[in-house]
Amino acid sequence: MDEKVSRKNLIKRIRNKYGRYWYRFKRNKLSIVGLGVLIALILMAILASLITPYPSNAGLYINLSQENLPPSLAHPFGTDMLGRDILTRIIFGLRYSFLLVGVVLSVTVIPGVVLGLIAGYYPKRWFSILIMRVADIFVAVPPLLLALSIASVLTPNITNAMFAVSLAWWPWYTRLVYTSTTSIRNEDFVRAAEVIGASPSHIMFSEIMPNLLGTILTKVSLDAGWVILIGAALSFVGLGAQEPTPDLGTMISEGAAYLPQVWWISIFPAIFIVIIILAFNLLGDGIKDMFSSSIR
Amino acid sequence: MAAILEIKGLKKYFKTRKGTIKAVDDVDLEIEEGEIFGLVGESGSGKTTVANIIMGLYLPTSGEIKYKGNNIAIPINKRPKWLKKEIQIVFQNPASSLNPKKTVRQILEVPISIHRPDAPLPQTIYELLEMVDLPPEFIDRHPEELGGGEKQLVAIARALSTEPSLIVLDEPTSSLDVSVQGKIINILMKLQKNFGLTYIFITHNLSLMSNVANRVAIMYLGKIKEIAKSEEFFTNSFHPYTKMLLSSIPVITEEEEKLKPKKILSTGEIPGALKLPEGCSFHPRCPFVMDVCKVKDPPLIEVSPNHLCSCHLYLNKQ
Repeated sequence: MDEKVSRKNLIKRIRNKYGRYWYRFKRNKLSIVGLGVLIALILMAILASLITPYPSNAGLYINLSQENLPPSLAHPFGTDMLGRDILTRIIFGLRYSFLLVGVVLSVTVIPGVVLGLIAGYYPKRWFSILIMRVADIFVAVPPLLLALSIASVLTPNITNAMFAVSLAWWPWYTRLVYTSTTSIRNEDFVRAAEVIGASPSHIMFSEIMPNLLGTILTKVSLDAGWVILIGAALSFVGLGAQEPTPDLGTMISEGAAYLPQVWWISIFPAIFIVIIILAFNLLGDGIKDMFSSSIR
Repeated sequence: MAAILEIKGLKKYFKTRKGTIKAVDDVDLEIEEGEIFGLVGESGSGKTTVANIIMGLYLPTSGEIKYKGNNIAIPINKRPKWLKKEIQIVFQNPASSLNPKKTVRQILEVPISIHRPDAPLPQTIYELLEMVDLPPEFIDRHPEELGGGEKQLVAIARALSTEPSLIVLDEPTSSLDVSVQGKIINILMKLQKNFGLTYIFITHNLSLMSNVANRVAIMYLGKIKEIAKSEEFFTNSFHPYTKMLLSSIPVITEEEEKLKPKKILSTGEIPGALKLPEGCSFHPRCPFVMDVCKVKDPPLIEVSPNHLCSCHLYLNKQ
């Protein structure tokens, strides 16, 4: 009977707990906007082939009779120099932006966090010093510059661009987690876990990490915007996605030659990049509020 | 009775940029099985450092520390499992000693699964909660949903969960509301009696100490100044420092007033640990200071049976 009651209790508590997180998140109206915009953009990217007016324009498609048409009802964002509908290409381009964010963050966050936890939990061991010095070397170079230089020695394509951005990104997580871990490590609850005989991996992943989750998720969300920006910068200089892939950065770079008369080729993709970055930042603020227990 | 914990010549120095801090300086203690051994002293006297050395959270600079005859001057992560099971600690501040992200169930599950793999879950957790007088529905609460006293009871349940023999209580009530302190102490006393536990009870609260401890040691700047049975410590103390502290306990009734040692005014403050006074470290505050106190540190000697004191006033009587 006890067990039944306690299971019921547990379900109620879990609901309360997440209800509370949601309550803290939604108090900030702007983070709701950010979340809504992102969900809408992601849905658009997934359903691109269904909702775009000219799906064939996403790939290799040339119709010079339609080139450089200004925004109109048939082409809300106009057409580019090869006569392709820009709205269609932007919506397909979102796929590459989100793919880049997804791949880069899932590849960098986990190793970055694990390395930071290890280095922070054993701050004086040789491997920790090695991890942190290597991270410092990477951090010393601005991520954009590092990603650019890595990408420039590789064949320019999307995979290599992702690789370059990932390599520039992990040390920031390592450093963030390292700093927090070294301070949480001295809390009494960590010492209590040592006293009861918990293993180092239990202490790192089960005692320390849950306390860092808020910080990490906030950074993930704020970083997502930066990753998109850097990805776009790589594409802009020709080190990322290649023609005819509809990538926002590539589109801006292609349209740059036709500025200022044919402004719509570059400006609309640029506006979308700004919107994505802004939405990720607003979401990040919301996540930060969600985990900050000081404001209840 | 046999000694469960023996400490000999224990020293712990911390090197800092400004110099060496002698947090614990040549401490000898013998704790007997089943007793409540009180360790009192002002802030900065080294009580908590002693506790941390017993727990393996610090390594001593020098000296011996033995648990049931086994050397335990080993850092916590190198200690064998049986030793971790035997000695537990309750920290001063339950707000920081419980992980805010975990439920009571998760907090108590870990030590049970490590040290008593055969114990049934969650029944064992319910038993532990009952032992510390907490209702069973607390099992799925987070620490932030508990009061300060309740949190400390969870911390006590965690210490009990490994079925230890020795529990170090590092100021277990001093961060709590006065209204719950009494309850916590009663539960601790009940547990000690029921399970025949040995307690090392650390506090700066002398009136609390007089109610709980069997024997009391007083520390001043890393040194033991006096050790005696509780009754003797509170009625017939030798050391001027003990007398000074005892006479500053506020009392209400006249009977209590008569029990107190002759009034010695508390003067000065505990000096900085970086530059300890020459000779007896208490001499700058001592009303009976003699020339010898300023140059020679008095040893801890048995002044009367089972009553040790470190003071030049009693050295000559031997």
